[in-house]
Amino acid sequence: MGPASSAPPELTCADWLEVLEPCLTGPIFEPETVQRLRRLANGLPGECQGTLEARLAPGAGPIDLSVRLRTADEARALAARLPSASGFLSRWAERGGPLSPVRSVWLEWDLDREPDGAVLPAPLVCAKLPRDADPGWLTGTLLPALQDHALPAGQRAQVLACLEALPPTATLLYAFSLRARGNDAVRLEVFGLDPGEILGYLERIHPQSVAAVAKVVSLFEGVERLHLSFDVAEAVLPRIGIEGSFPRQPSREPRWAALFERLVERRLCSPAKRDAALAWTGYDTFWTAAERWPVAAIGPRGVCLRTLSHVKVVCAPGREPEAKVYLVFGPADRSSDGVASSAASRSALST
Amino acid sequence: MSSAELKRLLEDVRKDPCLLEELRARRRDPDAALGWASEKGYHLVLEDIAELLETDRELSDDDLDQAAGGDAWPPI
Repeated sequence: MGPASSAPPELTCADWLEVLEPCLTGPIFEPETVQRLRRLANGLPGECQGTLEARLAPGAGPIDLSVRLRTADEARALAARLPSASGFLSRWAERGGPLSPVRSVWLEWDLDREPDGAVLPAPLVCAKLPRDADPGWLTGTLLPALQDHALPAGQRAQVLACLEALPPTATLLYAFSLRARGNDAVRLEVFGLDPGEILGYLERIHPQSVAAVAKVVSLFEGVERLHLSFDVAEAVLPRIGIEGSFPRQPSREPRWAALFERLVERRLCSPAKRDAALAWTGYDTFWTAAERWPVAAIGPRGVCLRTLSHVKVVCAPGREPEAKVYLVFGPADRSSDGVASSAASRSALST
Repeated sequence: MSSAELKRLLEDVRKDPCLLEELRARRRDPDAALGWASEKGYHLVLEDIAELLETDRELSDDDLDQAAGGDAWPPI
């Protein structure tokens, strides 16, 4: 047998979905959505952690899929297969290049309809920012790279105004391009505001949304990690997202259950989906999932983790608030393999 | 990289729950696992057995919290 034919098959994200198969059931997962996830995941690398975005309202709903790229090699590999994001990913992969401060990149695929053919569809692209990112770099380098064009003057001024209005405790954590949705707005995600500060901040950047957001922000009282996201074009747009999470998983953090209970009481989450989300956390190895383990690709090695990332509630005009949960799966994160790691070692380019 | 012979065993274990149970019963004893594999016709070496048994680990709640982001900054 020649060397080419003995090379192990490439590990894909779909291999991990196969390991997870007993968990991909109702009420969160429908057979059709799982098939859709698998078809997309077949083209995505198995070295990356994935996240499943599930709607919590009663009834069936699409499940979106994201993967996180942490290394230049991962970025280069996907750049070759994603024409819409190849420019950004290739530039991010340049060691010491202008995008090297980006810590990691998330690619997100909306799966509310079947992906078109065998080619990977265009993803949303999200950059995780360094602490205290320079506003000039953000608006002059990063956002143009994400958008594939310079920001129009009005949008640039609006982004800068939103950053200027941030209180000192808050940090811009992520920046997204929404071009895959045919939208030229950029999404900004801010960390470090408590519920009262969120309303105060919105009062400064988009006062029209305060009344609607005030009705949902109380759901997140007592949540340790709050994120606020909003979209910026020539003006701040009315879709507002609030995310919440805790450092510990539900087995050791009862406030997760309390958060879900409040969502159920507000009819934003079905009781069955609450129970399924809270039961998500765990892991598999070859020994617990031998019949589904990707032996041909990785032998008996590896761990397939399942963790709860966060809950999001989205407010948009003319619609009821929508709650979603983000379920992480895949290999252990190399930066948090049970050891403390410095910011430098977590750098996306520290391969 | 796993040896071809170890992969052959693992592929068979995937298809046969009885083999998995027999292997599982010996997972604390490398010599017994090696002898069992030999009896079954798999020509493994101790390194193969070590690789296989090393994967039999339990994760603690701390491990899962760390994997989920733990106390690291940024948090999500």
